[in-house]
Amino acid sequence: MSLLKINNLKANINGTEILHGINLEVNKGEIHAIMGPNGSGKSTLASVLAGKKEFEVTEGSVLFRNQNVLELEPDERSKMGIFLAFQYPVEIPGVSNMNFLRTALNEHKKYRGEEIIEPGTFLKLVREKANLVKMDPKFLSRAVNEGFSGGEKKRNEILQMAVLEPTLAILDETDSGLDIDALRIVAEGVNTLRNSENAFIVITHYQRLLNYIVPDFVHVLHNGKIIKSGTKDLALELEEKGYDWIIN
Amino acid sequence: MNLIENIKKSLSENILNLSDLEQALKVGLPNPKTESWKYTPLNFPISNYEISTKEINSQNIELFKYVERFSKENDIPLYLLNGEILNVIPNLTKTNIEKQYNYFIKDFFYYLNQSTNKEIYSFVFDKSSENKNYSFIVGALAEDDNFLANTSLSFVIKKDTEIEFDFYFTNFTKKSFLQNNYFSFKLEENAKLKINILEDDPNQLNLINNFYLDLSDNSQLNLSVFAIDGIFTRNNIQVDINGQNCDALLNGLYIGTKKNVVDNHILVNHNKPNSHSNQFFKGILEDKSRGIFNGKVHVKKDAQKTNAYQSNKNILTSADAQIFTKPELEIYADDVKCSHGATSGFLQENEMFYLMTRGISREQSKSLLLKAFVNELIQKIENSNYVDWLDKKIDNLI
Ligand SMILES: Nc1ncnc2c1ncn2[C@@H]1O[C@H](COP(=O)(O)OP(=O)(O)OP(=O)(O)O)[C@@H](O)[C@H]1O
Ligand SMILES: [Mg+2]
Repeated sequence: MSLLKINNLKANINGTEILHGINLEVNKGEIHAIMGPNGSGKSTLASVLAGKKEFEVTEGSVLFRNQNVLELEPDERSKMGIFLAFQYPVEIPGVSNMNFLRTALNEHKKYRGEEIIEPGTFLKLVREKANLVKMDPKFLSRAVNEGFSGGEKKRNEILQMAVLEPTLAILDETDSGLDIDALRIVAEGVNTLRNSENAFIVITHYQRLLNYIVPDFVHVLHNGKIIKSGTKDLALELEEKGYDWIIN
Repeated sequence: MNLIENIKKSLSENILNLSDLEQALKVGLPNPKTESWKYTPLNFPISNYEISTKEINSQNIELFKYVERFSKENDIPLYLLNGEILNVIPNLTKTNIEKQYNYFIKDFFYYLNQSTNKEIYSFVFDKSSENKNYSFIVGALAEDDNFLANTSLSFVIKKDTEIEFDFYFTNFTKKSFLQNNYFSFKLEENAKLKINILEDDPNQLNLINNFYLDLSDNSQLNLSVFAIDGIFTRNNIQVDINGQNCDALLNGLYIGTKKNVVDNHILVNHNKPNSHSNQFFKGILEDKSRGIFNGKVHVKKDAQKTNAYQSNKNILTSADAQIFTKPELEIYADDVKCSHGATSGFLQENEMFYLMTRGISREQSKSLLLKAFVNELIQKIENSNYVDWLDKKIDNLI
């Protein structure tokens, strides 16, 4: 069943068109990988899906669970089930990770008409989830991402994903900057959360991650367009030959 | 000017200093040409104000709430309503005014204050006064609009004494009120004074607050001022470091909303060597409010080995809000360490976006970020009673 349907999506920043007409359909239970050279528009696509205001959508549509989300604020999209793990997670001095996560989860619960979570119950839940991504609970009392190492920031993204349990998670280069162990931990996190009702879009430069998170489809984004789609074998081929053979 | 006429009419000559009143008239109200008032418009009709001469009606529910808050053992509250002392606390004496007043800038408000204060109340605190919670509630209880109160107090903290004061400036009614306050503090050798000042305006309060602090050898001052959304707030805080090995920490937070004006004018004079001072002020300006920060450090010629720092950070949440910030360093000694910095900007869009992608609304993200911004200052206060009060106030605002 279709979860996300992107149709001829074009987007500008400061008057320059970055996305030149993206088409992509993601069904429940699927994992899609998006690869492509630096600057091809992968993060832009992720940001547009999450609702970043700086990007102006000039054409096309994005349907998520059959609803047009382009007019919605980022928080509304999040509550509908879209999650973006940032390529560069933002540091927020003065806001504790714990408080941030609890506020976010409670907003999701309110949206679903559920009772908000008690601090004690939340603490248990978040410890459990931190354990899933092998994150030391001491990171929970620190300010969001402040002074975290690159890899710690990425794990924190996965922790947030695990707490919010999105229907569609977009992981933007969550693997870059991770050591081999961390990579496996993050991948295990994704695989634990994976089920027949949700889907993942995994943006990566490296085939390595796809050994752990096995995609159903691999797409190549180049110059703001998807120029080739295939199965997981495409990733192996790209690893071997680079991008030139498709681009030219 | 109406104000002066009104005062002459309402007060009998034996409680009035006529010459000061004449002097006030002569000096005149500050105007945009007055250097230290350049960016600070008097956004209330000052010339129409009157002195309140009515009996104080203390049957006020807001006042009761304050009274209840300070009913714990060790709480020693002093209520100053409409410029009058309502209750008596230990350590209180009356003193002649002249001696206390030499330090303040002799402008309109100074003469205005002096004109109705022939004697002022003075407090002396020594070691026997330690370990108690002293709160000074400076409030207004007016029956009509546009009343003025001139309050003056003087404090001496004796040698080796360590003490904490909480000041609350407020208005218990919905009537417009102007407080014109002068407070002076003398810290004797090795005295430690902590002052928390909360300028809390639920209603119509225009506030002119003058604090003068005189530091002797080895004394320590830790002053925090929270100007929370008064219609008009002007703080003049002057610290004279007249001894060696002193420590003067001045922290401040100001929040402006609507069309309110909030102004902090700080002056630290290093008159002697080997002391340290730090000014740390943060502001949030919303709507069409205006903030003014003027922090001056003056290091005299023989004040060698002085360490003086200053920082002012502002967040504007609206394109119509304004901040005028001006650090001033005047250094006449050569062996000193001084620094200052000021920043002003809007909320970080990338931080807002990050929070919002987690399901947190724009409004709530904004208040999380603003709360984080102010927490750095609130954390410096140890008195949990005070912190709770402040937290609630700030939550209501941002
Ligand atoms: N704020 C911006 N202003 C101007 N150009 C921008 C802005 N954001 C992105 N771009 C441009 O858009 C293009 C796509 O950038 P994007 O970050 O989407 O690439 P990417 O595929 O994620 O690259 P990488 O693999 O390096 O992460 C780049 O050329 C980039 O310079
Ligand atoms: Mg990218």
